[in-house]
Amino acid sequence: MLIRGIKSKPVYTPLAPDLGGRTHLLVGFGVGAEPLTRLMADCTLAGVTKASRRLLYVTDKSASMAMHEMMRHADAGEVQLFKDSASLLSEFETILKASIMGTRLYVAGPEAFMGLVMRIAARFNLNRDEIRAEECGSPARRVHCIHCRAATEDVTTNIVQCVDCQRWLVVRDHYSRRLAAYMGVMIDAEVPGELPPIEEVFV
Amino acid sequence: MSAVFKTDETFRDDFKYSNSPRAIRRFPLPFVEDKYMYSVNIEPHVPGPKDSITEFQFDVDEHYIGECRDREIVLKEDPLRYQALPHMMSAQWDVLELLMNHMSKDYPEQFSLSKQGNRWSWHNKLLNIKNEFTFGDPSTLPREPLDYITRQAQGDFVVMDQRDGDFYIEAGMVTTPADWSMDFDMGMSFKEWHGPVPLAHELNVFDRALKFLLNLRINEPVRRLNWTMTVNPRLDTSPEFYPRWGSDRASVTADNVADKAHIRVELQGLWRLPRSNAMLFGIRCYLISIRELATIPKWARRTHRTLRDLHPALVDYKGLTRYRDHVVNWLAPLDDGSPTTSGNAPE
Repeated sequence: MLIRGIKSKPVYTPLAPDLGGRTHLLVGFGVGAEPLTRLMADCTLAGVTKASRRLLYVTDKSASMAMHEMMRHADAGEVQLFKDSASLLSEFETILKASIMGTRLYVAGPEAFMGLVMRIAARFNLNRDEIRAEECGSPARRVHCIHCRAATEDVTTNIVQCVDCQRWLVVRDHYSRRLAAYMGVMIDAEVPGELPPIEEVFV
Repeated sequence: MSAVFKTDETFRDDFKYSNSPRAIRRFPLPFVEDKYMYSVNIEPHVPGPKDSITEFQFDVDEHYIGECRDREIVLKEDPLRYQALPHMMSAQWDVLELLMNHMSKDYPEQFSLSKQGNRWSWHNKLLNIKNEFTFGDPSTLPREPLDYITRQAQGDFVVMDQRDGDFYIEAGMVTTPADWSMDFDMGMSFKEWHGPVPLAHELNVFDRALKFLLNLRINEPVRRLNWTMTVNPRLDTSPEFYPRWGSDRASVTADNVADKAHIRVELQGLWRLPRSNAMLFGIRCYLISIRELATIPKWARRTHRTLRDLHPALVDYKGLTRYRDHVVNWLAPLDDGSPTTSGNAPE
């Protein structure tokens, strides 16, 4: 279930072609394959050339084999598939370093993945109106420990143990684009060991 | 009568902190009636009565030395409490100028500033700091201008850049936060930053405040009061160091509540900055123990009623859950039910 009403959470909207762009960079993760496929069809209808489209995609268990095949044969001038998000992000950064003039960025996938992509884009001063993002897939959160500043990935529970300082953190509904993460704050600082039940909530 | 500056106060460990009778009488009780809810309580930051906390734009009081010392301790451990993005340099000079001008004019015995063209000479007699520098040239100061001057001022400071009809936090010195992290919130828009505050969004408080502030003009600063409670006179109640101070909240008992529990009031001021068009947001913090507060009978009655009837969401957000009842029970015998006059004056 996607949680709404968090004021600091970016607003995501369905992807649509931006005809003002010269290069269209599509970046997707897992089930993000679906909105990207739809976008490419809409681009063709709107007259955006296939050659101006470039796709970076990483698959995961949320995506079916069919989706993966769909991406492999995607309707784009260049298609690059990656085994993990780290290598995708690294290639993405290299692309932005080379040129971003007239680039429009389209991102699709879970927020935890999109946040990392958009954080890199922000570093290269891509404006918010040059980026479109559609959220789909796992609502698992990336959590920034406010005490030791480490990030814990793929958090699906209300309370999680920090990967670095090992404190038990409650995941607050407060999101930072700069850190691409939700805030995690020690849950039992007032009375050590006093933990509420741990529940799967971001699934 | 000006303040007598204390030299040995601490806001941690042994907590050597108290308010003189003068400081108590000028304490800005945030409750103007016997109940509390969020509102857009913004008013022009015009000079208040003599000796009041709003007599001057930047209040310097008896706790000055201890507060500056506590800031140094925090920064030594956690340097990210001060941050400024590169494009905020002209706003940094704006803030330095604003603070130095006001402090030297309003407290000439403590601070002096002389200018010969761009050559400025600053002398802070309370902290024994003296520097000559070229205004506009950061290499002539020992630290960045905002860092330099806010180490010599009470309260936290946030500088917001204005663009696209919004404000973005892009610089600041925050060592005395009431459970918010500037490091986490850097770069956020006005409403993103205030995201965690309950109820106020639904009351459209932030929409209206943002609209108002976007049009704020130079030389027409505004202010408002905000409040929470803190256990022990601790200034640094940051989320970063919550593992250290969280247990304070569980340490309050019926016997120690009057000395441990403090009302914490923030005098929040907003100034449009002339060169950068950025906005300075000052958060000047005042702490008073329940025992000190109760020396003013009207305040004891009013605070009793306000805390007793506080909205449950605010009890939770302000972190009062564990000890609110102790405070209310301690104040109850001091509330005979008689009416209170409106406004927050001692009577």
